[in-house]
Amino acid sequence: MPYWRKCKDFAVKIIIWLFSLAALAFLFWILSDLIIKGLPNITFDYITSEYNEYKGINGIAPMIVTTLWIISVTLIISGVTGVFAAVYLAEYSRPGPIVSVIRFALESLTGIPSIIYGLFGYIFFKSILKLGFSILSASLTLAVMVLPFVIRSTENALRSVNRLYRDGSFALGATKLYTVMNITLPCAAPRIITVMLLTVGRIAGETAAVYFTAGTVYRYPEGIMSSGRTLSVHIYMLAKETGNYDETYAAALVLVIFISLIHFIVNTASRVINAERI
Amino acid sequence: MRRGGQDRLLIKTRNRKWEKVIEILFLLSALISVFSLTAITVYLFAKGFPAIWEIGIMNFIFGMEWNPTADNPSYGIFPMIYASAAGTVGAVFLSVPVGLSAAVLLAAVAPPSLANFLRPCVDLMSGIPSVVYGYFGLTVIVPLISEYLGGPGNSLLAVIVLLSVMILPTIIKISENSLRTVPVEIIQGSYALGAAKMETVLKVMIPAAGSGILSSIVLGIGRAIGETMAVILVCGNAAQIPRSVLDMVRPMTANIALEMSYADPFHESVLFGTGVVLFMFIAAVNIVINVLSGNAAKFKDKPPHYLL
Amino acid sequence: MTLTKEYHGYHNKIIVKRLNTYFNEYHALKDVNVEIPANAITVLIGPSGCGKSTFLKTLNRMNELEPGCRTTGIVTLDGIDVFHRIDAVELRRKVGMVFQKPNPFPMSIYDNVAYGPKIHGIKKKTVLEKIVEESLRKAALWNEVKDRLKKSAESLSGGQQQRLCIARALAVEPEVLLMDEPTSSLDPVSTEKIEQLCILLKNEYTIIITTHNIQQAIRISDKAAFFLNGTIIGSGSPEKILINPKDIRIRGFISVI
Repeated sequence: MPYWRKCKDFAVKIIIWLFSLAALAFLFWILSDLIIKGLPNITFDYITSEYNEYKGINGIAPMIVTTLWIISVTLIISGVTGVFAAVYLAEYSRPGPIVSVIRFALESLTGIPSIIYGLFGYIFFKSILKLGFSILSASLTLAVMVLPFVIRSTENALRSVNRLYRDGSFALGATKLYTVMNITLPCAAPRIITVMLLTVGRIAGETAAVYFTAGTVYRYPEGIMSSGRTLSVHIYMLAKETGNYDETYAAALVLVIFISLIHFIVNTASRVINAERI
Repeated sequence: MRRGGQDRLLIKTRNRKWEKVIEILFLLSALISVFSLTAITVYLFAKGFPAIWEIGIMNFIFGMEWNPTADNPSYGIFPMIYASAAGTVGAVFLSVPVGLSAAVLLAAVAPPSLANFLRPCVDLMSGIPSVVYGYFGLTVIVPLISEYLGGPGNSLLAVIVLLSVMILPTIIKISENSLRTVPVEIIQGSYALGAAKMETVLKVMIPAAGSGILSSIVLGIGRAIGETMAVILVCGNAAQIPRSVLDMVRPMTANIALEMSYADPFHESVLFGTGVVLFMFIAAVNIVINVLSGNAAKFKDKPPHYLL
Repeated sequence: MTLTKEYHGYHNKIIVKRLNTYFNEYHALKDVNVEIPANAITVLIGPSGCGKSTFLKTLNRMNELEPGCRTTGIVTLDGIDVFHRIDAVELRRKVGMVFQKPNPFPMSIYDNVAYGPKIHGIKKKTVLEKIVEESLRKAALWNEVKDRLKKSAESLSGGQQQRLCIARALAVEPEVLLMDEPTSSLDPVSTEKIEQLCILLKNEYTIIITTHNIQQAIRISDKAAFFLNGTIIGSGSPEKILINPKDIRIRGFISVI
């Protein structure tokens, strides 16, 4: 190979590595900044106490509780409808106008930004259905928001189940429903669980849609009809309205640790699942 | 099952009413997505469009003044449309070379062990909540800009930097996937003709993965236009046309989120109107993606697998 | 009109008339006519991709699960039209199937065999245990697995897995057994065991096997049918089809092998 071509090849390689390293460096910059400024402020007290500006208490316990509430309710709503819809698409649907319309809707919903979901939840669930600023309003809104992701990923999980299993079941005279319940869903279960975990991560990190539907009240929620402030909304409120760096960084780090943990579990689990398949 | 009943007639349909009921339940669940999309569109327009109509479509979209709380209020959102567009274009310019490099690195250059370490990093990058990006921007990037480049720090530049980082994972992941689906035969054909590795990447793999890379960029554009919580913390929120990247701006999303909490009913409708315009932009992005993926699908018209 | 005919002293279990199968525009089976004798092994032979598997899957209506599949013509089982007068799910219980690649479910050996009876409503443990043992015995697998019924079916060897699949099919008491190249992924020893098993099973069941192995066809068949390009170009005794075929196309295929 001529010398100049070797040089060009080398130069391109260098550029690719440099750009990639820059992206990686940015990630580690954010993470290290969060850890350095946040970690010293995460104390047992901080995580377990209430928040009250006037009393000078600045814990995040109510926000954690609210976040967990919203995660659970959203997961139940989107999990059930999402898995049902995915089963329909993967097992029952035949190509035709209905499926095309559903796929079009799913693709369009995927692209809609969370603030539009927030506006929709604000007017539809909060005002028209009169659910008010509440955990239920927020969860319904978030459920609509994560539904495309849940459906598509679950559908992929169902489709990745070996066709031979299903053929074997049908050949024994099993109905579609029996096959889905006894073969397809159990085989796809590990993947579906990782889908749900990733959904938890998305819900925990969402701010705009929750801000419009759950409100910003920083007390413990009493049930799904009470309003509340999630951890992510709390970070926004602190950033916007107080200048207290320490507690904001601590809250941000708690949230990022929670999400990183989910990603770590999902990665490990998918590695195990993929290894089993080979 | 009846054991020993083999001489009986087979004409028998067991009662499978539940089978059908549950199939309909599955179908209804799948149709929720259609209902949701319809409801979102209808309610957004129903709430936002009357206000736009009253202000006048032209006055609303091309109006330069945004002053909803004045005695003689004005509702022009052109500065915000401009800010959203400028922020997005800037972010794409920064993000595409970096994202494409990283995608190539993961798909073709890095050893598998390194790639296996880097991929979760990309996932983590997309997992960090936007409000955390925003807070990092507010406390680290904004002061840096103010110190080294002057100005208030809260600026179009800060928006561009944050958005470019936030759309990176989208670009990297989808581009990497489409680079990976380039058939091995094509790549080996290139090597067989004496091409070097990077020549193969640049002249064979990237063009072959073109439509996938393009849709990753368009998806990134969609994400950048719609991003709210990160930009709201670093944009400065001044509804003006920026003269330089160091000026303060207010993208459409920030406008909606900032003023919703204290808006009177008409002002609220105007904010929904801003949402309608944002929605139109997203719809345009979706149409582009559909066209792109439609083009990609044309090449996949093979006979079904059970015939091969 | 009588739909059943005598063939070489056998009663005809299945009669296929003018069967056509399409996948969307693709014409997979073209005017197939054949009779399948009861309590005998019918071997369908021909090059791969000639429609043998599609034909088998038409007999138990598995093709209907593929999108875009259309079937015309008549298939009768004991004189009953299977497309219009038998429920597909019920038909598949009567017409069992064993696949080319052993496909035990990812569960225990016991659960694999009990899966079919459970579908058809048998819940009593003692009955299930009896069916499992009986089926495994019929498939000549009982002695090898009786001590590890709760072990995963994937721990078995390929040949054992295939016999497990046969046991699984037998557990729902079918009348017909369709076997789609059941030995093509197995070693010679396992292949011989399966062949022996088939010869044993034909006393109770009507067996249809596809294969592209001429020697195997000669060893086990009572009747042979030759498939080419989606249709049967010759059927009859093994002697007529496999050893001294008149048709030049069959001769070409046999001499190549």
